[in-house]
Amino acid sequence: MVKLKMTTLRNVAGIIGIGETEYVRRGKKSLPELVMQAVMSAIDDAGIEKDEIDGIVTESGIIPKNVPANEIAANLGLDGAVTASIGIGGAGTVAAPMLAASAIATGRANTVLCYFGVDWGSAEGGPYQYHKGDPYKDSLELPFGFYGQPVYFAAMAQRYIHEYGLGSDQLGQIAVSAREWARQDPTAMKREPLSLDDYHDSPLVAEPLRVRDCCLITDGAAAFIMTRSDRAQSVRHNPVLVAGGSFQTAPYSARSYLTQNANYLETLGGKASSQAFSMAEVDIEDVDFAEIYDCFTIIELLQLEDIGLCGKGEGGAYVEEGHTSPGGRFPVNTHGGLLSHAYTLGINHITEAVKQLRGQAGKRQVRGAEVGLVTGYSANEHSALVLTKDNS
Amino acid sequence: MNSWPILPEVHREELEPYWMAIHRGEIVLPYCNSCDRYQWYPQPLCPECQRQLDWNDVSPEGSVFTFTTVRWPFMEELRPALPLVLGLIELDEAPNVRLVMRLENVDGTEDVCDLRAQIRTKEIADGVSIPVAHVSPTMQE
Repeated sequence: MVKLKMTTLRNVAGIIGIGETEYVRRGKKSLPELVMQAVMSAIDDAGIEKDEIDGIVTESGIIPKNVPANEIAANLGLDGAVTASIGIGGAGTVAAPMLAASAIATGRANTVLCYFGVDWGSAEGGPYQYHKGDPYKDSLELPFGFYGQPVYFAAMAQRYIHEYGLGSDQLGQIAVSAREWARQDPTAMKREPLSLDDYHDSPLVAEPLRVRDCCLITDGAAAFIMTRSDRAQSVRHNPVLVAGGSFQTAPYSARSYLTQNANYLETLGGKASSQAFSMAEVDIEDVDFAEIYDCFTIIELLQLEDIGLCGKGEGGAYVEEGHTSPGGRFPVNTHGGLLSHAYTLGINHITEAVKQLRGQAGKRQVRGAEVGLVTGYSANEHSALVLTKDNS
Repeated sequence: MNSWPILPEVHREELEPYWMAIHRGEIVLPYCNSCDRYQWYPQPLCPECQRQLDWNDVSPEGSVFTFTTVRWPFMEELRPALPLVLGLIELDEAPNVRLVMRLENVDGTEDVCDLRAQIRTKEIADGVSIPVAHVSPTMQE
């Protein structure tokens, strides 16, 4: 009988390089070009040779349709890289580091590249068409006009208002706060001021959600390189440790979750963050900042409650008090999030967390940032990631 | 002016019993005889006991679980139908099921969550019907 030696993934791997393209509403580069640009930039930032990459890990639901891992191997001339993917959308991008850490922990790979990109700014149908083509939704939702992600989340916001009450200023504050952060990030797409009045002036999309409650639409890509934590220190920048992570699922199909979820006003972010904290051996009190998946203001609000910052129904008051804004006690989305930085489904939340933990966040630097939380939401899936500064 | 530019299609054989019933003016949903529980969207097995699901009638009485008034044309074809009040209807006999449909008898400016609703079927093209939720106003009629 084989005697198993179980081990934790805590601090097995560190992030040694990040790369990103510029983020635009509609670009001229193809998605493969954008991804490779980000990949080359990450390799350069890590200060490694491309042949050191022996693993490629990414999200499994969206990017492989256009730029699968084998495409990266082809462009980099990599022979023998192990490839793996996990999750859909944000839950996938934020789960990738733990999957990469698993490969590193078992010695299957030493240096893993993670990447993600979108061309939904220039592609036909934009982000909405991702939800088209499922035959069940096409049959049971589309004919009524229940289509377009904002509609799904507007219905969620209406139920929240009904059960808990929520001021439009409170919801708007999430958008306003994201913009305040983005204004301090030179890489953010949206940097002009956004006041609550501006928020109220933005057109209603599906009530109560306005244009400013919805994330951006972007062409862009990012990538990062991970390696064994006992090697990471000898590489260029202060490495950022992958201290904990979690990937949670629910007993629903992806196609049905958004309408059938019994816990309609909760995300799986509570379970995901709890498990990630446990692996990282931290509590929420230890977290210095968080990059929270913010496809819509309402989803950020639910996660703030679910991760334990405040009770269910109290998220509006929490953000209204300014806690998540610049100067607040729990900085959230220090780059502006998906709402104001870029809509690259959370890989930019990871790269921002790395910049913060390296002390390279410029004017938006969270002083003394040592522990960061990143979340990735994709309806029936949810990921959480705890990254820490390597003080060893 | 066509406010139903997209006609429902079955798309998959698993969805056929639902739509055939709607076209007859009835509602049937996948049902587990063993658990006495309805399941939506259709799938092969009951998530509780993993028995195969059958189809069973269900009463059209229910309530509005949530709603939204859509103002943005996410598909160009829908522009003439806007603004559009959509809802998720929870059925009295299947409280874990929420059916997506348009609401009628509402103006979209008030919170209609938890109001009573009855699902009626409406013919929108030759031989093609759709369910629509007729919402009861707050005051007793």
